[in-house]
Amino acid sequence: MAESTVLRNTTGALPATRRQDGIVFPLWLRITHWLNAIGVIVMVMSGWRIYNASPFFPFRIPNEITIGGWLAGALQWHFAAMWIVFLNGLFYLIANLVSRRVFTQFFPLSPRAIWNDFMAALRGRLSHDDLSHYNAVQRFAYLFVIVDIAVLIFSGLMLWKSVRFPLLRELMGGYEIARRVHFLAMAGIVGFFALHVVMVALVPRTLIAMIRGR
Amino acid sequence: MPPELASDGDLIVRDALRWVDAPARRVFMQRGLTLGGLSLLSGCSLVDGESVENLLGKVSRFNDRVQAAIFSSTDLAPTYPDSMITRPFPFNAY
Repeated sequence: MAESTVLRNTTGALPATRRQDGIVFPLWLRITHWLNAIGVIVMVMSGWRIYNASPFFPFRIPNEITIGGWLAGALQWHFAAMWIVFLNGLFYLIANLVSRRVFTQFFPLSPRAIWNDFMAALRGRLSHDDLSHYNAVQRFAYLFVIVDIAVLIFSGLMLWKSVRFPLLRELMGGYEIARRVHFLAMAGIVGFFALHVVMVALVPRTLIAMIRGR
Repeated sequence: MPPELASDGDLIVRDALRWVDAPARRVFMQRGLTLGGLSLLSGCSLVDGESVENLLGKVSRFNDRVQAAIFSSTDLAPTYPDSMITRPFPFNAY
């Protein structure tokens, strides 16, 4: 494609893990991606119901978009889906390290590269020809969501069993602060989700690739 | 009783099929009628509340065991003065 030569991508010409069969997203990545999507959606929607039982901001989440029916039901959903998110996330991290995908896909990364690719994206001049290569904004967004889920898990663990994790509780600044950390991290992942869905709608090939691998 | 009159269901389906003549539509309707029959088995549906509740209950009992395992009878919760208690006390089960 001739126009792709004028499209810029500041993360450099590092040839990403290219496979003979053209698989962009390996099977383990696709499985963990969709399990995580299901788990996170259930966690967020049941979490809204739990928040409604004792809101600390001057608003409630409409009950129609929550899961669980009432507080105890929402807690059951929340504490069931947490195992999906936790075990699936753990497997994702291990597979990422073992396959060394984390190093080839997410790094190098610099604030300048993020800024340049962000501006290029705004001008509609960021290439999506090669799905196996993440641009700097994608790298940042995916790393953000990995860290955000880790924050959600640690703050959530502390909220679940506050007595058993005194160090975590002190690090969070106490139970009430941890609730707000947990809530803001939720807001972060909901924001990511919204942006992610918009980007997938703009480049639908990525959705197909995340299902069949290429 | 002749075999083609085995049940009311058979009769109703056959009766309905007489009204659809075009072969293509006939096949379509046949499938539709079978699917319609399946949909009557709503008690076996995957989104049935009872099976989901059973599963959630199982996970909840598993969580009870996890909580028992990480509980320590020597390392107790910090105590706070009465004045710090939220009233009315918020219900927080599970």
